[in-house]
Amino acid sequence: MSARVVSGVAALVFAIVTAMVGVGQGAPLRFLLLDAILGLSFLVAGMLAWRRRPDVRTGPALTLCVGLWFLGSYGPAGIEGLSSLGFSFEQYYDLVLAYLVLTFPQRRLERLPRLLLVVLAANLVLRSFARLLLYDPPTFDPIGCSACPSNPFAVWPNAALSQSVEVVTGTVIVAAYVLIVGLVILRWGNAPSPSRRILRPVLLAGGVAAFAAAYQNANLLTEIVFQRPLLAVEDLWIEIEAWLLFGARALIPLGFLAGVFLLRAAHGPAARLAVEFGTDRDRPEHIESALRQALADPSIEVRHWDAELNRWTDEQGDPAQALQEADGRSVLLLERHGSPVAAVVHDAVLLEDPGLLASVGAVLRLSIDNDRLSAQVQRQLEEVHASRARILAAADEERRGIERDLHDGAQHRLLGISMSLQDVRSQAASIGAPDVLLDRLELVAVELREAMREMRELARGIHPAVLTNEGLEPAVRTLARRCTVPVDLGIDLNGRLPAPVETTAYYVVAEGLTNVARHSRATRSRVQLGLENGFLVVEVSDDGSGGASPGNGSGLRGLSDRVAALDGVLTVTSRGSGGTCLRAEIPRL
Amino acid sequence: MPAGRDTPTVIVADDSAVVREGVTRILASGGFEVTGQARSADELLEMVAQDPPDLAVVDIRMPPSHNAGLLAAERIRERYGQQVRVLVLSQYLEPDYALRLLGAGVDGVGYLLKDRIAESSELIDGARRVVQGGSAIDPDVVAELVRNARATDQLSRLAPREREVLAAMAEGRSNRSIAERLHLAIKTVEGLTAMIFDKLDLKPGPDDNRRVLAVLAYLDRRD
Repeated sequence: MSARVVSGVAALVFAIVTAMVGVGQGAPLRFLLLDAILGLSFLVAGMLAWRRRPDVRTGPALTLCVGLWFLGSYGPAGIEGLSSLGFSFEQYYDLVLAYLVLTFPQRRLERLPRLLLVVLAANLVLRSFARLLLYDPPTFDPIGCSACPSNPFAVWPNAALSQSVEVVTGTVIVAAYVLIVGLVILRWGNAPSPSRRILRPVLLAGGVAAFAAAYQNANLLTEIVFQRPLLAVEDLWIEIEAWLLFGARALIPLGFLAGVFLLRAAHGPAARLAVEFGTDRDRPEHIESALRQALADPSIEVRHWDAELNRWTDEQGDPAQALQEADGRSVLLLERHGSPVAAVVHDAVLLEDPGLLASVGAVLRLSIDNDRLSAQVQRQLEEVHASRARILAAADEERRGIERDLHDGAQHRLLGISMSLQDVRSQAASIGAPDVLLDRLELVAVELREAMREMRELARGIHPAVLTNEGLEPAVRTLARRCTVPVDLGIDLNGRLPAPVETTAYYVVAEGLTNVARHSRATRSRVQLGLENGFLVVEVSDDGSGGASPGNGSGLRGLSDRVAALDGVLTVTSRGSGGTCLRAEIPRL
Repeated sequence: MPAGRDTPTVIVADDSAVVREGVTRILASGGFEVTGQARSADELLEMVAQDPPDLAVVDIRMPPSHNAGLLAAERIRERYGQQVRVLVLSQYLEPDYALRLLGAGVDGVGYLLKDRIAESSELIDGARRVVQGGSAIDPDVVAELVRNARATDQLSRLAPREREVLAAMAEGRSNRSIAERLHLAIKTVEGLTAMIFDKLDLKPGPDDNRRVLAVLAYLDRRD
């Protein structure tokens, strides 16, 4: 069983025993009920806090308070021995609560509060032992015990000394609680806004309870010294006063419970940060502003480590000074594989909740990694993109080169052979060669002419020279002329375009018209070329049966790749009976 | 051909020596006097400026740029008008080159495929028509145009014979030349041309050159 369950059960058992003892002694029911309710509210708050945040000491401390609370209940019980112990060791829960209030949620005590708590504890202990060993009967409390049993622990009963000790320690205790009220107010004033939200219920309840403790002890003191209460009020007000003091303690468990839950809720900023990082990514300072927003700390600054140049930069990428820890400022350093990634300087108060910084740090690291990776992917994508365009341009240039070589080399050579053949034939004719030979020569000449025609077509297919020499419009007109389906042309171009654009547009029209002629069963088609917003828009549409798509056949896919290499978009709209429309939008470069 | 001279003068321009020599030989055998050979567009323009010939036979593609020959041909037509006729030899079937050349008028201009060098009579025939102020468009180039219009309704209304005559008209041939080529009586050709113009809704042109333009414009219709 966990320590939490054991402590809880023990405290509960103690509470029940105490209540039963109270009933047995015939204590007023109202008193018993309130005492039990208040003690158990500490228990409930303690258990909940313990479970919610096992790492924070609030839960165990509140559970300890249950025991201390019910110990005090034995003071007025009227049982010899137990009453003396209860009276002697009453109100120790106030010490624990003061410690909790001053340290909540995980703060280390500074010198002054620590000194204060030590003095308070020392005086409480001193008073406890004075009461235990010097008093008989053991109480000065005029309300709590009018007919208390004698004190079996009083080894050296001394009324004068015990009164002196009571006065001295009582004065110190009152002063300590007053100072604690002051410290609580001071802490509230110094808390930065994110902490305030969490601290508010704890400090409020703590302050009121410390005031109540101070008042109660002061009341006791005046009772001892002047034999009258601090405020001389009627009986009715005495009752109300008691209730108020009671209520002030009752606030404590509620306050801590609220504080612990808010502490939990304060991890919300990490989630909010994740959302903030997701939006507004394009702004360079988005991390800084998101952190400021999420942690409610406008003083936050962020630095990134530039591993290439070995220096810190700000969010804009400009070189910046390394962040320094300073008064009230703390630096959160994010590292990967032992080398720095980023640093965040923030209000040191955020350290009070280490869980918060850890989760924010994790989100931040994720976001930075994400930024870095997406930048890397972007860079690679651009490289791939550029190289694709270069490969395409190189391939086009190569085709142009082949076309030129065919014309200037092979075709001229064939022409030369053709002319030689003519010479041979006319010479043969002039020396009276037989007709069979002349006919054969004629046949070879015809074959040769056919070869030249084929070569011209081949060269044209490799690269249409008219496109390079005359431009897109004549080249497209030739395509339209050669299409077996009548083509309506709508060309509105203002002069020449860059070669890759013209070539790509040409292939779009060529592929489009090939498909029209081959697959569409169209009776008419339309080719449109125009400039729109810096784009060359090419459209080949028909009135055929539709059914084409970019994934359909390697022709359209290759074309799509070609268009994409120029940052363009190729779309195929197939409208069933309404024909097909092939549309390319290519940036003019 | 200017009056008083029976042997027209020619400058042949081509960056390929084989073609230059071949064309020179063919034209010489066809009764032309080759007065110069140019290897580039600039050289051609220089030679024409020094001693304008009756005809310049120009390779469409010459150094320095791809279509420098075409540009030079256009310059000559612009500068010398009917004084120097131009015959462009090309390896490109695209009618747009020819149409571009004809844009400034069909009188005394020709566009033949280089393949014609292999059939000397075709080259000589074309060169003669051009030098006499007519026009010569390569039959294969005309076929490209006719092929385009094949799908249109109007051309399907023509009889095969009529279509042949239409193509011959587009080549820049006169009625006499058409008659010779198709082995028809000249009267028959006249009748066929009238019929074609009627069927295609074309206005009969007053001379052969206008007729070529009308037919080419009809074939190159873009709507």
